[in-house]
Amino acid sequence: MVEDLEKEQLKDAEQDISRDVKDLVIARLDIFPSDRKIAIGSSGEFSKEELIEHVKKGDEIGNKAIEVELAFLRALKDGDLLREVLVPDEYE
Amino acid sequence: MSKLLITRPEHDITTRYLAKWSEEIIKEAQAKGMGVIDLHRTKANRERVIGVMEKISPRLVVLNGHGSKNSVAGHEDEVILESSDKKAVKSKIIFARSCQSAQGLGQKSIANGANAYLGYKEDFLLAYNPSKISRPLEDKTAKLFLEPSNAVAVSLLKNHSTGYADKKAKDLFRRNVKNLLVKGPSGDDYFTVKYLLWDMTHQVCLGDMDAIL
Repeated sequence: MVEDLEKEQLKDAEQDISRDVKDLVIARLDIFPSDRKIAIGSSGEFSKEELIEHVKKGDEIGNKAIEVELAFLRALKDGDLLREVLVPDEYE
Repeated sequence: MSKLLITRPEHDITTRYLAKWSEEIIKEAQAKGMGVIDLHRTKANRERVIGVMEKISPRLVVLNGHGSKNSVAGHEDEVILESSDKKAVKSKIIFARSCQSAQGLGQKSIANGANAYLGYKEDFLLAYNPSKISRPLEDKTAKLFLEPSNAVAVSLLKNHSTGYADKKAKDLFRRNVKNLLVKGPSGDDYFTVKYLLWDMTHQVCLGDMDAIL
């Protein structure tokens, strides 16, 4: 009984996180200009509005957009982005 | 004299951009006096690619097109190179500008005798300006992605090592990211930063890092 309750709570928490992540990604996609598109391999080309729709649906393209966004945010949080851009340019 | 084989399928927007931007690679090879086998559009098919790789055995192979973990495609997404192609990859330096192929095909190619395999472990992302699809070379947004990735092949053609070519391309991605961050969120292409970092992070050089043409 207690186990079932814990499982239920865990499932609710995961759904909340998933919803929060989707909301975050959709908010961040807002800076994507309306006059640009992104090509994602053989999956096709997508405008901001199309990407947001895919994120809302939670399909393969939406999950890819989430993966890219989270990778970027992790690079920001871990300082990787700062380290990357602070590397001196050898070729300039 | 070593030869260059380059595939340039052109059947959708992504392959059109890759095909047009590959002209710089062809020009560089021609300027170096290198023989170029340019398999453009319908010529970018499996029969021709495998035939050239096995019989003419060009030292450098540049594959543009869609890809998967274990294959690279040509025109109309026909698979032109896959993990089971042993003879074709032997003693080659391969640069695959395609999605994911470095994961499986790259590793397998090295195991099958390729000297080096440069490519992408994940999807290759390309942002572009739809108003420029008839003139891809004038697309400044796409340039942020395609100039760095071109640098892999161009560096090799300038007789630099595979390791250097990989690093040079990553440095150009990094330079673009840095410039966009300096311009800030009001800049036109600021939104591309995360996609440039994605491509840079997932570009790899497998096999011999000191191989040259």
